Amino acid sequence: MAAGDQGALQLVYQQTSAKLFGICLRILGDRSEAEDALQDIYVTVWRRAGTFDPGRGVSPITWLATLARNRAIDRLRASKAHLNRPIEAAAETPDASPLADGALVGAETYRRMQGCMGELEPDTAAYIRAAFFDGKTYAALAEAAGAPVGTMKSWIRRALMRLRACLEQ
Amino acid sequence: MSDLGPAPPGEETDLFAAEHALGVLDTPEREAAERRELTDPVFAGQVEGWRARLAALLDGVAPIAAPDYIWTGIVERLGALGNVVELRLRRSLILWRSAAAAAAGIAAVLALVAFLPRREGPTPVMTSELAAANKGPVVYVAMMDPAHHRVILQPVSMSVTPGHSPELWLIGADGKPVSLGVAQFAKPVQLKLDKSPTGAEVLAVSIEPEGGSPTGQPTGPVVATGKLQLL
Repeated sequence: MAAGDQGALQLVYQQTSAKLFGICLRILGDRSEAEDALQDIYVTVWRRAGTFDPGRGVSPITWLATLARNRAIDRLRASKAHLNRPIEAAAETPDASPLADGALVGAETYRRMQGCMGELEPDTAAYIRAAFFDGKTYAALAEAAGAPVGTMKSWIRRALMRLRACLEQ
Repeated sequence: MSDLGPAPPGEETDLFAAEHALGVLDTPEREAAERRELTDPVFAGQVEGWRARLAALLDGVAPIAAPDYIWTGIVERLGALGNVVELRLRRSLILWRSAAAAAAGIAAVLALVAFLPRREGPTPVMTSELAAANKGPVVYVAMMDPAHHRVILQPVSMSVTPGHSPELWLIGADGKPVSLGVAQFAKPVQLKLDKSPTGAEVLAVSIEPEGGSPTGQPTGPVVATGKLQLL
């Protein structure tokens, strides 16, 4: 790669890699897996930047963070490591100093989301976090909760509708 | 879903999009959702909406510095990709140009980097943002690729002047404009580049009679200028 390209890439990497690495670590829970995932994500990003569409109102950092989360979840599913992870882990993991990195973090949207998640049943909020951060499917959540899949499905669906209504307020 | 009752069709689709974005679907359902994303723009938009909503959860994850060798590995892997990366500058510039101001820097770099043609020789690609006078808005973005003897000129916020043509000029140290060709107001054009710029030149766009300047020198107002930058 020519020096000029590298400088440009490095700029983006420097501005975003800590955020994305935090996400990979949170989801994968394993440093070496998270490092591999991070490399994959940036290689993908350079090749797919044109699929980002700012017309939809998503900022590049949100786009990158979502891409990182989806890639890490794919990796987690492939490794099956998540199967043994307890639901509580997702609920208990503290959201440590979320506002420390003010340049990248959407403090306002995060506060709103926290508020809306707080209005859900605590168990249901934990299930939603377990799905989002640990790749738990309906079947896995139902098994962990000792509830029928159909019941879990209606809990989650109801919670998603409440989240949407709350976030749109 | 007997205990929820039948959801209205639009609502049902949005819930399916939400489940897909959240990641709770099992493998067959997830694959069905992925296929539908490709064929159903309404559904794809709903999935995107949910991804954006749920992304707020990611804001709560604390950043952690990645070890230095990660970057080295990325550089090596990108170098190995070589010519796989195609030139899709036009599309990417259109897509990225409206990104929010705070994010515009990252966006522009990403777009250019991702779609830069791989260089075959030592001749570097240069870009230029041609802006209106007094730090006005960017009107055109140019990419000069001397190795392939071409300049691509992409309109960003150009208004159309009927009966006229925009013309692109390269102005060297001697201050004498050399025409690079007639461009368009609303569409990107690829023009032939005969000489290799040194990087010290300035690009300018003037508004000329339809078909270009009759004299070989700019005759109409210069609407935008920009310095060349190495990428």
